[in-house]
Amino acid sequence: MKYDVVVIGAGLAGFSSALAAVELGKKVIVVAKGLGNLYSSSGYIDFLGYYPTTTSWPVTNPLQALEGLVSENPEHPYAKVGKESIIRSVNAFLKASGEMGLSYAGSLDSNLLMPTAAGALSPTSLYPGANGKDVKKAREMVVVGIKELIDFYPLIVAQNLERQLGKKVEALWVELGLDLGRELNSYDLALTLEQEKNVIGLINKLKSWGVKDKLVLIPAVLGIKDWQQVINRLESQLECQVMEIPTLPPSVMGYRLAQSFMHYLKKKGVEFIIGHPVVHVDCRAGRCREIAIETAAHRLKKIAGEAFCLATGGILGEGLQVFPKGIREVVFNLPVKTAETHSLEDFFSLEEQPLALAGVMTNEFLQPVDVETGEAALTNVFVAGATLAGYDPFLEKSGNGVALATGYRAGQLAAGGGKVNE
Amino acid sequence: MSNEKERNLDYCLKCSTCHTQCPVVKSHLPFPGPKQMGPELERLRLARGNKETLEIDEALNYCTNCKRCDLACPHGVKPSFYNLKNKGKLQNKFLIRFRDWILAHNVWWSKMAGRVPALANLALRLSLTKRAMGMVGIADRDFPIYRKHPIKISKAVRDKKALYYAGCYASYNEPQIIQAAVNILESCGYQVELAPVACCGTPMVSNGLWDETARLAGKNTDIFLKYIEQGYKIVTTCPSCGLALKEEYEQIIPGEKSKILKANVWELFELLEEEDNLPFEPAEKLADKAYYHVPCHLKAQGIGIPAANLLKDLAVDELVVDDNYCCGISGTYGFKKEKYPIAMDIGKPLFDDIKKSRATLVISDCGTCKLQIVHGTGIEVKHPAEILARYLKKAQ
Ligand SMILES: Cc1cc2nc3c(=O)[nH]c(=O)nc-3n(C[C@H](O)[C@H](O)[C@H](O)COP(=O)(O)OP(=O)(O)OC[C@H]3O[C@@H](n4cnc5c(N)ncnc54)[C@H](O)[C@@H]3O)c2cc1C
Ligand code: SF4
Ligand code: SF4
Repeated sequence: MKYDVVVIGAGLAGFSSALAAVELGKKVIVVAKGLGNLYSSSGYIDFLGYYPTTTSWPVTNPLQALEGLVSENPEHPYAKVGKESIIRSVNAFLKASGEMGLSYAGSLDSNLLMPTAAGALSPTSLYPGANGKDVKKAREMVVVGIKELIDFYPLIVAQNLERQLGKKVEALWVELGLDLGRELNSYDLALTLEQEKNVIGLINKLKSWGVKDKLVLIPAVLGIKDWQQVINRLESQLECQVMEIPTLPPSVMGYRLAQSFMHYLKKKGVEFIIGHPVVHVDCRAGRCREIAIETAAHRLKKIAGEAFCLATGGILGEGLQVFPKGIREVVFNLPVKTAETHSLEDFFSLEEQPLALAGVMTNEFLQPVDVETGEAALTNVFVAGATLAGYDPFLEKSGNGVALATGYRAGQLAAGGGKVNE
Repeated sequence: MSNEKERNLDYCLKCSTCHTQCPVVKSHLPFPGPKQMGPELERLRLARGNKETLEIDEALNYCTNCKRCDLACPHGVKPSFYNLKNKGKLQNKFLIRFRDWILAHNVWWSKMAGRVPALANLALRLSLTKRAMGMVGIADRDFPIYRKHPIKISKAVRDKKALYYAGCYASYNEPQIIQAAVNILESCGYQVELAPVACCGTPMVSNGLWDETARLAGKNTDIFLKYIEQGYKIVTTCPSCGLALKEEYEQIIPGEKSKILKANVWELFELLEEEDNLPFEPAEKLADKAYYHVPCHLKAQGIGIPAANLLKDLAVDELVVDDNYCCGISGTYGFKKEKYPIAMDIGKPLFDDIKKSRATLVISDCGTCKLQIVHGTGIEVKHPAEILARYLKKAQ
């Protein structure tokens, strides 16, 4: 079977590559060992939260900060793809998210501070539209915990928010009266809130607490499909504003994005084979001809392509593997750039994480390069997402932003034979 | 348990991605889901020396063995394996064991019914039979119809040899699938023989009969290996039979034999992808719009959807391909009284999607998926081999 573009990896980077390539009319397949990291992440697209990473003040205007970053830090993935391309990926994503029925909002001009499950404030650029409220502007806030939900503690969240925002934040518990004989995680709870009687139950419980005119912060469990309607109903019946707080894995907000994105791509004709790793590649004279995945029979299934997007994630996504002697890129065995220092102190430092910075080096076309010579090692392979070297997604708060921007660019380059028609 | 599987436990990072992909969790929330039933409890079982079963193990009865958790896991853990294995240790109540045993040995009943199909079909539709089945916990739903049909096979000796393993459903309920597969293989130049193997064991292992399945798997493997030694490829058209030979046998009877077997098993259209000149020619299209429901166990084989492109080229103007949904029946699962509502609830999004698509024909490789889809939508379902055999080039 031959494809125009073969995408390896089913995280946000892989999905963005597939989106770009299918928009350009290409025949696309996504192959991956398993599902990507979105199911554990907040579903927010953070572009640049902290720059330089040593500051403790969040970036207010990511686009402006990006300009500095691009000129000061040419090895950063954002510098490789450039500002225009980043903006294009955001526009494409916002449009597609609307078509998926998720309707993301936000822009690169400003960061919004979003409360996390621990009550921290995390700067982000793109978020589901229904969630686009500003905790800094809210006059009165209340954090709602749900008794049946594990791992969410409204008092701690409220205390932490109070400390950071310098204003009073209330906390309260509600009990929905669900008895399913086991602990419920956020995904389970979201399933129960697909049922009318539980939504009404929640509304009634909150009514008795009096949340009128307040900003209600509630864990992101308001349904897996019809959550926007649930938010609307809560807001209109309680005369309040409602904002979901992303939870620990399984994260329902991440789940919604991952599932919707995948279904959307399938409807556009993108094929998927998930659950089977790429274990073999056939590269000759600087080009990859085909890859092969391991089927259930442990035979190889060959997949030929004109171009390939490598979006297998970093160490956590298992696109990079750590050995006692170094780090390996698992699919093409590409050279991996590691940070120079490797002492144990660096390892645990709160400054830049050598492991987070490690990754595949590319040129401006996202083609993997030889670390020494800088020459493209493979001309029809384009690298995206957490596999890339030169940035620290955790300190910068740029994980999904880099995945989206580089993924989209890689998809365009793969579809255009290494060029992008602008 | 093989060391590899034990080591796999350590790879579980408790991300719960698998949990979000489990169709049973979605339709029956009391089910604790693959992460907990699989890697999490397995650690506990190991820590306790793997002796007594845990109280919570009873929930294993609710796992359908759809394998969606395995495919979802980003870290290579296979929760379904632990579920299948530990189901074998459950001490269910007598009536449940009895009922599950009956369903697990579906091949025996099929063999009997296959001899006298008309009588069997009549008996299965009698209200008395239905009442008796209800008493042992079998759901009041339509059973597959038994059919007998002689198969025509060429005796010509050829270099390319295929041992076609049809499985129970095609053998007893839709022998026309067998004829279609044989015709396609012969047109591709294969000398075809029908495998002298009855049940693959999937209904047994998913009903907790681990040891019996191990014996059956061993016996079947020996038969298959004799043919493999003579250069035969083992070809399947039933996704669950195929997956059993490719993956589950190796889990149940690990060793060299199951390794050789798995390497030689091909899904019919997976095999056709390797052929250079396919023996098809255009003819009148069968439907304007058809809906291809990809069975869970075809998806789990990791071979893509090899029949889809042929179907698009030859048989239908528009093919909607879906691998998002599990139909819910999961072999014998949807025939159990207490599980029937869950099976129907799991299938509902699929039924809705099929109806919404306005397709007039549904295509699916799995016999029980077919029963469930017909039951849920009333729309006709056909096996891709059955359809594509119509487009074989006529002999010169
Ligand atoms: C817990 C957590 C929470 C986070 N939250 C946020 C957040 O809220 N906002 C944000 O912006 N960023 C967040 N991040 C960072 C962000 O999620 C990642 O940087 C980003 O998702 C990386 O996406 P990716 O597509 O590059 O990789 P991944 O999502 O890791 O996807 C990698 C894919 O490659 C596949 N793969 C790996 N090896 C192979 C192989 N050999 N063959 C085939 N396929 C293979 C995997 O199965 C997977 O499908 C978070 C990270 C973590 C760990
Ligand atoms: S089995 Fe895999 S998907 Fe499930 S929790 Fe463990 S690591 Fe995550
Ligand atoms: S095999 Fe299917 S039903 Fe069983 S735990 Fe895994 S996903 Fe759930």
